[in-house]
Amino acid sequence: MRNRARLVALSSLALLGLAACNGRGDDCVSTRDYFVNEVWGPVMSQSCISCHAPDGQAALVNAEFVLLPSAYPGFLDANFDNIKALSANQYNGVPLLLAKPLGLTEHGGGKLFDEDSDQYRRIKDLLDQLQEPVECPAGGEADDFSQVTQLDPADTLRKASLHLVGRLPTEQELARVDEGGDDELALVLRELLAEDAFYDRLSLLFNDLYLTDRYLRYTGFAVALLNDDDVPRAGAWYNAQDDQRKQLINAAVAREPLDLINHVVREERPFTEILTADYTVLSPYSAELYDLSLGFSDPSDPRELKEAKLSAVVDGAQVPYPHAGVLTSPMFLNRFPTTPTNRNRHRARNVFKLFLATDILRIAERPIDPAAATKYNNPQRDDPSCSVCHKMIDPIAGAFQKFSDYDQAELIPDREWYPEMYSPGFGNEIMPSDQFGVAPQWLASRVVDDPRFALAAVYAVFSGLTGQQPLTYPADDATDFAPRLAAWQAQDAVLSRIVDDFVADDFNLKTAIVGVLMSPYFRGANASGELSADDTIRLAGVGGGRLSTPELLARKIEAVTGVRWVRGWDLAEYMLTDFRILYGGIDSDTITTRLTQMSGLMGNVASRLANEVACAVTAYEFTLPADQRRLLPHVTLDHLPDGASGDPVPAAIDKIKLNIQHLHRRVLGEELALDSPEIERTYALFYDLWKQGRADLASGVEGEWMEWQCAGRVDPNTQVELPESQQIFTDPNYTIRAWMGVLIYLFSDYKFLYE
Amino acid sequence: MNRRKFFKKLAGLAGLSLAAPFAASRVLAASEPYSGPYFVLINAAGGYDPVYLCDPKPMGPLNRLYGAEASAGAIKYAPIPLGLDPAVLPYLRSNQQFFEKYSSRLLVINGVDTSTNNHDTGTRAAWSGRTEDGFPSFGALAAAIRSPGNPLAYISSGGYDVTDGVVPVTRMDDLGALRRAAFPDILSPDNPESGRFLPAKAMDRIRQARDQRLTALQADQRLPRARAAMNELFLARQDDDALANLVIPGELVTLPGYQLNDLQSMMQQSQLALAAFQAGLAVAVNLNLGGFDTHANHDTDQVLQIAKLLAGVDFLIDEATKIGIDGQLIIVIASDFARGPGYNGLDPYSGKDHWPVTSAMLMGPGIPGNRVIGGTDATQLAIPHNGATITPHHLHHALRGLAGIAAHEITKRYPLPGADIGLLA
Repeated sequence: MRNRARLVALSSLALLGLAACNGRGDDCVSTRDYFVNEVWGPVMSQSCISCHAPDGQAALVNAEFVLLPSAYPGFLDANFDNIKALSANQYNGVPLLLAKPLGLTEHGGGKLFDEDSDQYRRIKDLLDQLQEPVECPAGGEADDFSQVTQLDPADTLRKASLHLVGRLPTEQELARVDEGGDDELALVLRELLAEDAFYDRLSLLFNDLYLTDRYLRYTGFAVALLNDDDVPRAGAWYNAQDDQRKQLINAAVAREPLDLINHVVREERPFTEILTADYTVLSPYSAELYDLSLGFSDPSDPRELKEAKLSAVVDGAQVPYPHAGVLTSPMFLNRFPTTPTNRNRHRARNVFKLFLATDILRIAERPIDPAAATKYNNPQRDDPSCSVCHKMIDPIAGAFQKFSDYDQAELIPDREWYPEMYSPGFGNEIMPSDQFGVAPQWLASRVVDDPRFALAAVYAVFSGLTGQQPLTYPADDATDFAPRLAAWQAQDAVLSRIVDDFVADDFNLKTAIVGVLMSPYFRGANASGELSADDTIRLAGVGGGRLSTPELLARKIEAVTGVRWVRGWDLAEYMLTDFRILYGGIDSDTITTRLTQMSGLMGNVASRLANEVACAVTAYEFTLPADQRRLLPHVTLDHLPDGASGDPVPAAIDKIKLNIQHLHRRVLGEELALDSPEIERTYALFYDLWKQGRADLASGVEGEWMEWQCAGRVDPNTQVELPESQQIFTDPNYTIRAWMGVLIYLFSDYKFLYE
Repeated sequence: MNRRKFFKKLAGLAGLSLAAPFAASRVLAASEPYSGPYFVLINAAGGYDPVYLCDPKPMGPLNRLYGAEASAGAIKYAPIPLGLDPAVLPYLRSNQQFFEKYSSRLLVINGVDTSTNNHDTGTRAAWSGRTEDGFPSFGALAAAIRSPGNPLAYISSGGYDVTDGVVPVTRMDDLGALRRAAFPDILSPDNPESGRFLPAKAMDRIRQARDQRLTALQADQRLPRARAAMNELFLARQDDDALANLVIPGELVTLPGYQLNDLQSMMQQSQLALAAFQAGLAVAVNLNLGGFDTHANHDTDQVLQIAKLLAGVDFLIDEATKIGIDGQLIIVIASDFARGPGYNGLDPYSGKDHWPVTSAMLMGPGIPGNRVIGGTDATQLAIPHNGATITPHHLHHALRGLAGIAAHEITKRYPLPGADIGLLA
């Protein structure tokens, strides 16, 4: 594994030219940091790269000195490594990296500077340092989050538990982390990753990238994509199943790539297996569709997964399917389809994006000259503005060469590939023709060996858990370049460390997940003081403030209240159906990016949510014995703040405040003293609502009978009527409605709606 | 106290609306209903083919579907016969139908050089005027500046809807859900006799407490992401009652068969957008129709999608006419880039690949109709207009000028290269 430098000594100070000091009060600036701040930024990214980029004039004549632009993940390390490798090359005793721009030897770019120039000094200093590189001890400034106060272990556990498994932590878990601190927290977090609910979350997390849940949109969508010759039961047999079974079978087929990820993570296999698996995974339902007996322990459990190797029918004969994990999943192949002229390039682009952390379209993001392209008969290879991408994309496209352009997952073993395209391969390695039959497997083994694969996995986890994309390296002309660079460096340092841990733990994704959960990007709670303008930018992505997705919010509602917010007629959750798109979710088909900023309409959805959930749960809580209530265990309907004479009833007020304290803890995760201003604010709300309600009752403006929907009439989860003796229809003291108002207040709170 | 006045007082006391450092600040704004102009930004996703739309060419390598160009007024177009499935024809519009109906209002800009063959970059350029990441779309800027306080100021059903935080995006689909969201305090919004969850004054008291708490939370919070989120929540709740003005359609249009699903979706989104315009709640809307990336089957698929696109625009204008706001609609139709030049094969199923020089079509108040600007030569290369090759920068200079937002401080944060070359003069 390449040793990624962790200790980026950032600095706006260095960027201002104060190279000797890293601003920490010590003098340690590593050679890598010197390169980043003193050579890359002011010199090489400004002038050298114009010719020495992968598509530049120098690269076209096979120059060894190639600089990757910031669109490439890990570009700084790659460039630093390249310079290290070239640093010993000399011309007449002068390092080539200086001799060329000095014009001492042939240089396509001519003479660029003199020996008394600032550029010369910086490069020379770097080359001198490389003879004995400076390494600094841990604790660099780039990942200095000393101004950030983090959630304590208990609060971190609550946030993570709600997010990952849709429940509140148990008392035992809380006691463990209270006792054991962060070390124990990491263990408890890891235990959460064994729960079934976590795998539901993991599926959603990766579906945000793969979008294969598109095939859940209607029953039969996924099955219809299967090749009838390979899967004879995909036709008449499937159609003969009852509706529920069809739905389960379709879901199993649609979720196959996500289930493979779940299988690999649950079994703690190396995450590389999501591409290198020479098998797929089937549930009892998909296994039946494929007519395979895999020995399921519970044939009705859709979560039970078994590995299976499939075959395809070619000219009437069974041939092994070239399983390469997700890459050869029929769902993946269909979700990223090809055409006869696209020639798998769309798939190749997504291999870069999903598994190599590379947006290939950004690599050549600069104006093209349409007139120039017409000069070439084969512009993809011969026009430099085209070949810069095609020389990377086309070899990977060749790995899918044995699949049909029309029936996307149909295997055609004798299909010939296009000789005018770049040869199938990966990077500079050409795929031997005897590997064409197993080309996806050949590709998979190369992709997982690439350092960018681990980075892509960590990026996926980071995005899913924090709701924000990793920062991109700021553009040279960006306003506030220095603090933006600092923000990027800080995040890069954290993510690099997580990548290292992930790789060191044999690509166990759970390690990456725990790494992100323990980082300030997940745990940041506040800053210890007012932030400077630069620190405000540097820490912009740190900590909470993520708008909960519809899926996360649905789970949170149930976890906190014990009640799901469901449609009465089919018990489907509102946030996963009617309000999913309105609240910024995706359908994995035409709407594929989540909204992360609350709009006015979403604000109204949140208000409706608060009202309906409070309506459903408040009176219902009072139908239950106190020890079974989640929200209102400390009060009865007779706990009234004032007595008949209008005098306060201290004992009742104490109970009411005790329950408010409980609600703040349960609903919002706040540990508050009974005399805290927030308890007082909530109590004042309760009191005002109750007082006004009592007055309205007395005046006849309001009646004792509650609205039908809000009465304690049914179990909100099942809509089944409660026993008559339990039911509550009236609220003669206005207590239920006052508590309902309190719950509306809490369910519409920032801390409930955001993470 | 009026809720908005209350908010303003609260914000003034607590410093709310100090927004994220990377995003533009949004402040409490006047909540007067927005009365236009309304911007409808229609994205033909995938790269449409102007040769088969508004930049006709003689029959030959670039065109194998029609003999000679046709004209409607001053606008030349491609008279492609719609040899499509008779079952879907009544729901589509041919070029001839469209241009004859709208040429007097239509400005065609040909020869727009996007300088890219890349879908993402092309879409960004078409709708933000820049190829670089992060620039807000024109719709976002228009909404953020012209009526930022409106709860549905910027509606998007796809395309390029990056906002950089200047305004939130709204998505709308399910009518029932929309109705329930529009009346969050009413138990059953479909029932005119329905009661409320709690009396209105109780809800006001809850909101007061909620907002005071949010103010206190933000005052104590110093990390920028959380502060920005609190600010965003505060702004989203400025006017919970405003959506009650939304005249939600009784039902959304439906078209038969799966082949028209995308057009049906575009039409439904048009209905919802028009309802928002009519209620004075929205400034700009993105409509999106995909399926233009015809690397194969170009003659069938591209022609079908163009006919859907034009049918969708026709439907939008007809519906806007019914509610009397068609005169306030500014419609912009654009795509990632173009296709060509010519086909990538000789067989009838061949397609056209990506080509950077494309076209845009505009109509609405302030846009001179019956006019074509720019052009391409026989090889589909741009012909300079008044000495300048037209680019998305120029188009967006013009749009910003048309919307009256060019000089606004928010717009200035997102500068465009070059200058306004008077495309709408």
